[in-house]
Amino acid sequence: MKITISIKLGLVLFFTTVMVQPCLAQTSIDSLLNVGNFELYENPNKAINIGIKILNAKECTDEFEIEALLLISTAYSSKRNYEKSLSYATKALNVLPQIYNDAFKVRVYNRIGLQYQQLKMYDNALLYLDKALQIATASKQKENFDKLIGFNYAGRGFIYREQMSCDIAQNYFNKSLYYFKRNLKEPLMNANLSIISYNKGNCFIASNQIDSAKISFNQAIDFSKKIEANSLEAFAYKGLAEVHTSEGNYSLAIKQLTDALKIAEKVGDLVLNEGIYKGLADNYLAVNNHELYHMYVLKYNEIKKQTHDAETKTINQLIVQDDKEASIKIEQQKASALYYRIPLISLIVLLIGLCFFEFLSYKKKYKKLKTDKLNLEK
Amino acid sequence: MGMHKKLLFLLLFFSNITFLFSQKNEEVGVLFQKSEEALFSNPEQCLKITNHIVHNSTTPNELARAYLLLSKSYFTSGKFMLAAENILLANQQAEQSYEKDIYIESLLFSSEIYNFLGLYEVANQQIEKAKKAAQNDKKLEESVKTYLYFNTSDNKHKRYDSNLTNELNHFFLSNGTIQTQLATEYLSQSKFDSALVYFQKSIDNNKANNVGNYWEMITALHFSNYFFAKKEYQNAIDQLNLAIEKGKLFSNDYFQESIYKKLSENYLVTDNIIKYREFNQKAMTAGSNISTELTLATNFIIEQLHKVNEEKIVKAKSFQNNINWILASILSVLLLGWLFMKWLFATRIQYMTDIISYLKLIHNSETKIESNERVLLKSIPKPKEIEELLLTKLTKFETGEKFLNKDMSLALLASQLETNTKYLSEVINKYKGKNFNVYINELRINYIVSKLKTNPMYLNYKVSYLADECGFSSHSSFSTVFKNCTGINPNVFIQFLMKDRNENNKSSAA
Repeated sequence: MKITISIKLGLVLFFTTVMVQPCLAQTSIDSLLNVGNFELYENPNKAINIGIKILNAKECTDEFEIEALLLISTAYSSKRNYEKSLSYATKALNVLPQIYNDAFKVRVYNRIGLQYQQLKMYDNALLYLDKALQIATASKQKENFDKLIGFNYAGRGFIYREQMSCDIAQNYFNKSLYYFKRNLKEPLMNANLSIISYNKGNCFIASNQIDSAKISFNQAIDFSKKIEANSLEAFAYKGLAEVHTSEGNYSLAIKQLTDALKIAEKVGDLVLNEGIYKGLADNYLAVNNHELYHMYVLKYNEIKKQTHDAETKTINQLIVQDDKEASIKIEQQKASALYYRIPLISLIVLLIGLCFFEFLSYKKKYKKLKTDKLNLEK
Repeated sequence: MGMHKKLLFLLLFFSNITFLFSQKNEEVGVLFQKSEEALFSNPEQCLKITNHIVHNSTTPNELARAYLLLSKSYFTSGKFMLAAENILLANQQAEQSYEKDIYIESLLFSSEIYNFLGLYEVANQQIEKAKKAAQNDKKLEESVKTYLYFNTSDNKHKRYDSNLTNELNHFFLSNGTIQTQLATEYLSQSKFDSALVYFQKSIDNNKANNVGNYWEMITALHFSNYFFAKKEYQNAIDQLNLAIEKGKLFSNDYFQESIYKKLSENYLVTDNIIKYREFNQKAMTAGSNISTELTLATNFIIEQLHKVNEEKIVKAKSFQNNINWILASILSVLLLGWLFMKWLFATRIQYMTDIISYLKLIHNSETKIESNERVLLKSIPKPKEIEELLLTKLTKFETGEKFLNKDMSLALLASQLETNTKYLSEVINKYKGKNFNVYINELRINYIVSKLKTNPMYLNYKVSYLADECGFSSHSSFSTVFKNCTGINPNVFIQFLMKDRNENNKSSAA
């Protein structure tokens, strides 16, 4: 499960960078957007501030406005403030009708669809992916939509795969592969092809189609080798090893997993390592090598704990952060209320003083008049 | 000691039923009892009954209790999102409930859920809240302490020593009974004999107390680990199949994933490839479901926590604003008060000055001639003949009533006194110390004042008549001149005079 998440992230990243590139008009906003996208996961608050800065910029075009809104939306999503995230996505959607460029529209819909998919709100995700596909297929503009359509189908594939409807998922993965292949001039497409093939392989394993799984994983290996994408290659080998385990070919599985481990060590991808250790533990168990089985089970558990700890740590930090932000806001409100309160209190004190003074001077005057009166009455 | 704690523990969890019975709400009490009995054996029935209670309950206490039960029931079925939703509802209702124990129990169970989801910070916050709520109530304080004591993993052995072997810990919904946990710990230390003893105890206890399929499933799942470690794979598979059977009603993906995973491992090591594949796939499906479920539950809670913070901010803002509004109101009240004081004091002072002017007037008019004569003697040490003549004429004029003529002017008086205006004006200025107009007006006012004092009839006349009487062409100019000369309004003067006269009449009548 976690494996697909990290792989998906890879796919997302390959596209977010692509998305920014077509807008070359204003280099300052462009570079701001790049910085924002870079900070998205490490420092979402900074990304949000950059987004707001772009929105306030004079030279902000509708395209940039949408980019900025989506940047803010994604940043909130990485802060797990989903309500805010979706509200900014909706704002972006409201600006969208003013855009002429269909490819841009498709990109936006794709991206929002994927955001919903990460929230596991699959119905909404499919709704936006549908819209994207509709525009892409109906557009009469000359733009090449292949990549975008491939991306769209891949998203659908992930959704169905997560819902364990592998047959439907395969259908979309195939379509995705078809469209990505039409764009092979771009070397980056090989990465996407490798990811899709790997996911296809997993789906074949899940539906017990071992031979097809083997083919898919081998394809994934081929695509990853073309652009020397180490982690993708290791993932594919790990998948292939699973096939061999399923066939009872444990020693081959162990060999491939050991190879994958060598590559994975270079990459340092926790999710990848977790999968490899699990595979090694399983296979050593199958060949009754309990010593190595225990060793890899321990490693697997350790890495699982690491990823779990990292995940919970970020979530807990987010919650603490949110609490902190709330108390800061409350403090700020106190301060701004004080801004009015100080003059109010000083005026009150002044008035009390005036009343007192008034009373004293009245007493004095009255006393004098009274003595005058008494004198006169004598 | 152990017995004592056990009692408290029980009290915490079952005091509500007694409470309900004592309320003569027996029907609901029975429903709760039935529902709690079904919680670990028949989740569907538990949900049915509890939902019925929710629909028919009105008191926060009953609702809190029902939501808490729903949350537990959803938790045992692996529906963590719904469990989270219901525990939040339970917390909300319990906060309004007067029963502290249900509030504390719902807080502790929410901390259990948060811990399960890895939201440790919030879990600790809930425990702190529970501790705070239990303060000043010895029984509850002790219960919370006991709960925390038993919930800390380091204390498992002490827990066993404290003779709680028969006690089911409701809060370890994901970890199993205390004996199961203890056995698992021995197993992890490779103390197989001790592990076996406690697994056996757990199984016996489950049977003897009829604790429900849920706990039996967890025990079987963990017991399979013992056989796996001992390489008795068939026994392990038997235990896992038992776990599947016991867990059927719960269809809890969280446990199913780990049961299927363990089964696939056992089949793998016994070289049963087909079964291995089958259960590997099942584990994957369950794992995928549970991952979605956990994400949704976690996201839900984070969203709710964020909402709570937003509400706090809004509340704090309105609180601060309210303070400012209150201050602003105080300020305006003070301002009005100040203005009122000013007005009040001014009228009082005015009244006093009026009285003084009035008194002065009464005295002054009696002494006025004297002072005039004094001035006259003083200022004319060697009067020239003409001046002396003119002054005599003026004195005659003053004692007469000619100045009451409305047409009286400098020119007219000059011609009457057979002199010229310039000379007359000079003399008046020199000897009377005032200009002609003031001189005439004073004469007129003195005249009317003396009339008012001596002739009570005048007191009944209107001011306009008085003005006319003493030679003023208008009411207002009379009033102004009167006020300037005497320091008191003619009306007020008349009022004072009338008052004096009445008092005099009264005193003379008395």
